[in-house]
Amino acid sequence: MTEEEMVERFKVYLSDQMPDATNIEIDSVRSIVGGASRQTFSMKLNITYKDTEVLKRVILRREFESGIIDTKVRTEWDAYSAFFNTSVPVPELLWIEEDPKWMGTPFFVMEEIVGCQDFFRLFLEAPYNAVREKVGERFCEIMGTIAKTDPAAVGLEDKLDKPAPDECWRWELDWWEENINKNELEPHPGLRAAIRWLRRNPPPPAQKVGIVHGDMRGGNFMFKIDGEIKAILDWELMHLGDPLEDLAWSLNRLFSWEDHDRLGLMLPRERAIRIWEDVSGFKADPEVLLWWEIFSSVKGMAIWISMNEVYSAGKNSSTIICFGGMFASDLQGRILLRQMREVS
Amino acid sequence: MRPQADQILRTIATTLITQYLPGIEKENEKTELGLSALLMMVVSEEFDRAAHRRIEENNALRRIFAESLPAIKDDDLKRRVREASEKAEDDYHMSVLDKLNCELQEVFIELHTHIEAIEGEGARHINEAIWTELENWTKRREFTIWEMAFAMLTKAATRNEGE
Repeated sequence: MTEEEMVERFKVYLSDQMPDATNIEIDSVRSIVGGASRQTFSMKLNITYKDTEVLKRVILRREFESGIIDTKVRTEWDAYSAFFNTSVPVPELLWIEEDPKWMGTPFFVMEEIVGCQDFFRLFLEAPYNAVREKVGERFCEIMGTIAKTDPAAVGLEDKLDKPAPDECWRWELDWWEENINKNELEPHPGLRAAIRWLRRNPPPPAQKVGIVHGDMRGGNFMFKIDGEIKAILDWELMHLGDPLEDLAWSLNRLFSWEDHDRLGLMLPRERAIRIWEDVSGFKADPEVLLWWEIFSSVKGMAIWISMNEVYSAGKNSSTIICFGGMFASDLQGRILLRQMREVS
Repeated sequence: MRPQADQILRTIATTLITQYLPGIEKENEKTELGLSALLMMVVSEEFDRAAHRRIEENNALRRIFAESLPAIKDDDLKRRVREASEKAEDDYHMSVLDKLNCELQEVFIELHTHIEAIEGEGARHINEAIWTELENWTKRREFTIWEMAFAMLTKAATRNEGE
């Protein structure tokens, strides 16, 4: 959907939602490049009710007609609802619409977090390299907080499927392998060897079945120049599972390519793990964490393979999809091979 | 001799990045054009090695298949591995080379799964040869331009603090 189409259709939607509004203006529309799971737009709303004018910058996230991985805006909405006004910072939600008659696919709208950055490679350069450890500490604290949050206490238990503690790893591995089976454009012998290794050497049961963000990494949170984290974003892969999954994903070397020993180019690995353990109350046993880190590479490959498939099949012709799939599958493949050489 | 396709792509990509990219103001258009130029470089790199990579890999896989035959315990798999070890390229179009390469890789995965389950020195030796080939598999698919891509993306991603 083009920006122009989106603006027109969203205006119609807003008029329906706010019959008392006398005028609705949308401007400063910007398509946010980089999102592989959603079509994302930033825009300014100017809504007039009789004698009151409301100005708001918002983000609209719309499901792609052919998503990379099958995820729902409802999952994101539920996550933001669960954590709004808690110590896990998330934006305020405004509207969700699952009827495709309005925008072609389901979408939701939330406030835009302004005055922040989200690209994690900025930590390699001034001025952001000066605050990267501070951001990293906060990131690990938040990740630990998500891990220890009781799903029932934030209203998520009834909304998400709950595996038994000894089934967490299998649920995830089955799901991602299924995605690989469905989407791979060529056989991946190294990836298949890794999947077999994971099945032969399963981890112990989860210490607790908790909330897993699913994509907890650099690029999916907003930070300020003073090191403060203003929002954790991109919750579309949220599920209940082993909290170690998030820690391992955040340690994926794809997100710290130039400095493998720093989580997300921010914090030395051992310090990051210690903070997560302290805050979550869980133990990150090195052998168990290694299983989840190899799993993370498999999960990463599944995502990058899906990007290659949707582009190749003409379901999504966005250049970022092609580029992301090409480069990430190359680098993730190298990471996975190195991991497998250590264990096989 | 005419300019080669990889050279043409590299030249166009450089022109786009150095001459046109700096003049674009809209962030998404800048990123789109920049990534398109980088992808041209990726395609350029792939163009030169495309046939070589597939033929080299097919040869390596056939070698492993032939060496593995005495260790295979399953008759049906042994037959398929033998057949795969005898398949040869007779058409060098990329689509045909790809098809054969994928067929051989499917057998390679089955062979690896089988070898993993067998005890003994012979199987361990083949397993090691398979892992060496997996390293080469990964190397053959590596691209070299990512550093440049990262630098460009970082520049494009930097938002004004006031935004």
